[in-house]
Amino acid sequence: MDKLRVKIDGRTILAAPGKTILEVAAENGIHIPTLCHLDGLRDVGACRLCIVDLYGQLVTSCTTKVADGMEIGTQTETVRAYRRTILELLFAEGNHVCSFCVSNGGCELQDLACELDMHSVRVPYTYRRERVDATHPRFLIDRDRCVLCGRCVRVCQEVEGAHTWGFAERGATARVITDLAVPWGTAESCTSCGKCVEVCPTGAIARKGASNAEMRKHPDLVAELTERRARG
Amino acid sequence: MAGRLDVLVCSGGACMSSHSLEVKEELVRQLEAHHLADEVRIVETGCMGPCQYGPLVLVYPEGVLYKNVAAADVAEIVSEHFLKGRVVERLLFRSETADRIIQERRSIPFFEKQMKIVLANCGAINPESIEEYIGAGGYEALGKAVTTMTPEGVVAEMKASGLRGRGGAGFPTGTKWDFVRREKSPKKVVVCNADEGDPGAFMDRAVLEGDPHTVIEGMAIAAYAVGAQHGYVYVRAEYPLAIKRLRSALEAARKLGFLGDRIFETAFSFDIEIRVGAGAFVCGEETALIASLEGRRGVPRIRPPYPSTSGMWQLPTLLNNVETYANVRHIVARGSAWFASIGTEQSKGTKVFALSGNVRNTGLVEVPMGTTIGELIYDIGGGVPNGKRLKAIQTGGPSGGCIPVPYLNTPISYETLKELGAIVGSGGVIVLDEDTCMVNLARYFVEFTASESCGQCVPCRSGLVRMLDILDRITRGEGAMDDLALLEELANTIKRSSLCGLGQTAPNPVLSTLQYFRDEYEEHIRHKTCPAAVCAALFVAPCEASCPAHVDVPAYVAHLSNGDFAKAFDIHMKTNPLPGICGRVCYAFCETKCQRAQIEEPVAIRDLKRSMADYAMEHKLAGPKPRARNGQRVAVVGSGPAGLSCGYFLAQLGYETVLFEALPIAGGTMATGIPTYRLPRDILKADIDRIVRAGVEIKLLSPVEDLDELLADGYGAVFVATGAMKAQTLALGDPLPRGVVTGVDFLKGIHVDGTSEVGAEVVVIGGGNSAIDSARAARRLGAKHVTIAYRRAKADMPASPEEIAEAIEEGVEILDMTSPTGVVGGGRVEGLRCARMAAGPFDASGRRRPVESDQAEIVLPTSMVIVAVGQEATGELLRGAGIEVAKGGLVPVDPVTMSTSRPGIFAGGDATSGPATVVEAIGAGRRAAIAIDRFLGGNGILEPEERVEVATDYDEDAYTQERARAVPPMAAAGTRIRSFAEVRGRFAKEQAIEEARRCLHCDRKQTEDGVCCGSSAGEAAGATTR
Amino acid sequence: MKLEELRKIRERVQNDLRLRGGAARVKIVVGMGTSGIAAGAREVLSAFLDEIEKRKLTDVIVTQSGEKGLASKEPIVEVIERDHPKVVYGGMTAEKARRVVVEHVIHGTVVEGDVLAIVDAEKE
Repeated sequence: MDKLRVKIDGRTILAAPGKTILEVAAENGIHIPTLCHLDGLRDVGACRLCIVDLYGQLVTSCTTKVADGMEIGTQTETVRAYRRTILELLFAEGNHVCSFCVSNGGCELQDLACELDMHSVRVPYTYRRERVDATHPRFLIDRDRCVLCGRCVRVCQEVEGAHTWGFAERGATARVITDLAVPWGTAESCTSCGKCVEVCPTGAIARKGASNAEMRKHPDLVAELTERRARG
Repeated sequence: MAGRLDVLVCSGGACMSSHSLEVKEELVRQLEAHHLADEVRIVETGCMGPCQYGPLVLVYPEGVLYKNVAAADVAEIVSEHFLKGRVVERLLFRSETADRIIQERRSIPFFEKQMKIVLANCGAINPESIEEYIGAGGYEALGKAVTTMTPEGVVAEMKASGLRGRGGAGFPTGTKWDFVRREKSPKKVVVCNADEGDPGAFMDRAVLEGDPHTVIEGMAIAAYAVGAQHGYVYVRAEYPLAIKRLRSALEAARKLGFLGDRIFETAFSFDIEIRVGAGAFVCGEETALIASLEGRRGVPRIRPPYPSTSGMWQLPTLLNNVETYANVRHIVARGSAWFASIGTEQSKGTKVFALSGNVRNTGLVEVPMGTTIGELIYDIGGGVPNGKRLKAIQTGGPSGGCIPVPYLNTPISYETLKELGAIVGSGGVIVLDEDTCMVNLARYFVEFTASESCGQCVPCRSGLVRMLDILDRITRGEGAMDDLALLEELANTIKRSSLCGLGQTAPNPVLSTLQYFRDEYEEHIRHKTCPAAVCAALFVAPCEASCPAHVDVPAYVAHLSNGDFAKAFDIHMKTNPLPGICGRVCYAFCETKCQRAQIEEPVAIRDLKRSMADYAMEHKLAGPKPRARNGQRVAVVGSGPAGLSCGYFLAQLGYETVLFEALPIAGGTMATGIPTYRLPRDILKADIDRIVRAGVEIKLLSPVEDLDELLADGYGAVFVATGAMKAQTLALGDPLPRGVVTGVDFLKGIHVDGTSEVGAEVVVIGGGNSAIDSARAARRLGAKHVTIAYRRAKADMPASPEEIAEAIEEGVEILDMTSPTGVVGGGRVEGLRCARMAAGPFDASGRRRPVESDQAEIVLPTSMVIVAVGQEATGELLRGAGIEVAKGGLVPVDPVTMSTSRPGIFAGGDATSGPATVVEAIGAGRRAAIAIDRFLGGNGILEPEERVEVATDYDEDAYTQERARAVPPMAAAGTRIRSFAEVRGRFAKEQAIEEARRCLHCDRKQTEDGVCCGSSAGEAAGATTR
Repeated sequence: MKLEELRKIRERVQNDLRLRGGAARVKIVVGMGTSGIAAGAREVLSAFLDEIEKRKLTDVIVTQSGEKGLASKEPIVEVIERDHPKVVYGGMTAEKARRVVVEHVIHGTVVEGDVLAIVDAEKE
């Protein structure tokens, strides 16, 4: 099939049709920050951090397919400012105190803050002080550290096929739940496969027993798994 | 026997909730009783439109529309109208402009400018009768489409018609149909979005309730055009009546073969299912709606793919709104050219709007695109009730924006409203009057969208909560100016980076109020005040908030209600040292905001003040003691209300204050302009004398020409309050004959020089209070005929309605829509030539601009013309001191400190605001005194003590029952015009106490345990506005 | 359902809805004041309605009005046709009403003997 010609940050790039902007950028060594995206999972465009400038419009690069002649800006001033504001909003709605977190040093949210030069949060921190659900024998979830990226929900649905994780409620009270909002340990559908732990970008879903800064995750596991499977 | 009368009883949602079904049952009973059941048919219909006036009953063939019909009225309607042919006049509509009743529906202004296409059957047929629908031409379009047109042909017609999506976004409907039609899929779906969720919107509900078949037919035609077999109507569970009627309509349509297999004996088969949604606002977004239809969590997803490619069950799906489908059959039946001939270049056809808020005729209206906003609000909506001013209209609900008064001439279309930062949206129009706080309004919508956000994407989920938090702080008076920048940044981030339409439009109410009403945000932040008296944390009570001098009305009224006039007087003097004057001539802004009006009428605050002031005068009360002299001197130029107030409060703060007055009398306009029948001069003198006794020196006949001289003389600061004394003139002829004077000179002549004389005929030009004063004074001087010529409509006169009414009682004739063009006469004036005006487009003030009509010019014979068309400041003194003076002689000052651009020189009153009211000048004078104290090293604190709520010692509950407002004695008009004696009497002491007890004590806030210590009615009244 | 069937239903119902159309060819106004009713206006009204129904006249509406101030001539009936002067009949009976329908309304011939007045529409 004919290659498409696109321009990313001024560079002319030949791209295969059907690929997303994010994929084409990555193939060409252009880094775009992401959070809810994960190779191997369906993209939903929820976190909005991978926004890029497309003719003055902001679109999520993980869900927008390249088209011939596209001119894309991944690092314009607006894009960077908006990403930073979105990140601030993410930090403000959770309890993201790195020094007390199992994922300190291995957290995608923390990495994003460094990458996007986020030095302070201009709005007050508000989080709901949810109880930690440690009813599962091996894992736990601290919902105050959840960024609602939905990776756990998708991996559980699309890869494990268990459909244990889901969303409940809406707006500021939206949260992830197991089965019909029962304690994780009592969720009958859960196979305890641990994929949700590996894909969770923060310290929200963690292995029991991990102490501060001890949790290291392997989200690329999903891509390995899905590549080996023939996807229908 | 053939029917003789068709009686249509509205059973739309609004009429049903005001008991229209009881009216219908009573009709049935009465018709039986009068043996009329055979001749008179009762038909239940959908919404007729003017919901404000329900229950509505429309009688054909005459087309008589009855409003507010109660079951008790039915007997009279049957025996008088149905039997004897006498229309029951008391139940008819009344014209808002002329004093006449209107019998026929089509002559009611509410209907006159409407054009009903979508709503053609609404309120005209029985929605549960498919036969009536067929009788009105129904299913003809479907028959025509499937038997004589190709699907491509139908799509082409839709494209040519120019119809655009009525759900809000305005996407061209034909193009959308074409997308779906071109998809190669054996199965396709047609969906009707009836998930109407905007606050204030009820268009879709009315169509589904009033004419369900029109939606079914539209969907069937759409299905034929795009090649679909299945249809779904997604309607919210909150619309049970719509669901019921739609369900019965679907059954009837199936029975007659308009749905099902082989429709009209063609190969086309199609059926529709109803899906009831749980009422999440986000499910109005098409991808969320489809998710919900499929039984999943109602959250939007990224587009593309669009539903036209992959929608319901991944099938190509056509999704349109109720109103869009309701247009379809008319386009097919009457042709695209007909439809395209209605509306504007880019927005064709009509639009249904749900009018609500502060408008006389709330209800459902349908107008051609291109109708102006002003026509919608005034001609159809009947304008703003209760004598309030229009502030803005809000369109598009939580996704929309506000349009302020200067844009009333804007024709309604998708493009024009978008340009103004608002949207057509689904058609909710909320009319907002002066009592609306725009910050609070924006807060309300953000609260709505924040709680309706699906929570999927970050900007919308988290950002809206932050915006709400900032708006909350601003409305509590805890905002900072930096908050506005952050608010805007968040708004733009959410708008541009959210996943779906909800987030992308949710910041609009904030952005548009920031665009047009930024000053109101700043008032909340900088001055901690809410100008509309809505944000409860920022004021004591609405009366106090609306008083330019911020007099603690609830406190002094409470003292009066306890019979303690002296304490009341002391409270008043803390903020306003001219109670005698204000008790007579104040505009009483407080009364316009008085919550008692929600029970019957406002408390008579001004008359109460007068009783209190007269008591203080008669008992020679002095008011609070001034502080010890601090040895510093301040000069005040001008002895009008601003100067007197500033001088008094400076003296209270311990300054030696000297007032310089150019004229031989003190008081400014109060002495030279306000006639004595409104303000007796002994009252004026008493208020001024009290200020002198408090330590203010007034130097009469002492014009100030150089401010630097004063400063060099040892005055630490100067307050300039020289007023706006220069009369504006009109070009009526050059040279002007004798007998043409300005209102300023005429009134000054009477009160200062004692020189004014009038002839038998006097014409006064103008519409403000000084025009009314001149006219009433002329009557008192012996003029036989006094005519006021005003170029606009009488309702637009700026003079107070009370003054206008009293002038008319005294025989003054008001000739409105009359604009003087020149005088007749050589040596002495003989007449005034006037052009007759007609109401033109709206001007920036929201009034209709007068334009010359085709009526001939008239000449008013007169020997005297008084020109009272406004006054202006000169700004000379300040200009001389090197201070920049703006247009109209006005001096720009800081609204809080009244400081000019030059340190140490302050200004206020009419000199900075242009002609305004006494109480506004008093407020400015007091603010200046505080700022001058700070400037000279003081702390600027006039009242060191905390405010205390005044306890009352009587049964308050007894006074929350409905009780008429007390009216003071008034001299008869015949007596009044014989002298300049005061017109208005005062309350007897007991009467004043009784009247004061009508106060609902809005100042009493909730106590810590959550119980409001105010009376229950007060709480209820307060709750409705806050 | 065929298109012709639909149109048949429509024609039938349209007759039913004619009162709401406001564009009838002929309007018959029966004076139903107290003296009118006493003189038999109700029977006259019923006769009109019945006759119109029988003859399937779809463009005629019957309505009522109050006292006309001519008690001796009651029941009074006005027949108003578009572009024609208004014809006022007096002393109507059920029988005469049926005649007015046949002769005047259908055939356009004024029933001379019972006419009280012929009023030019513009003079009103």
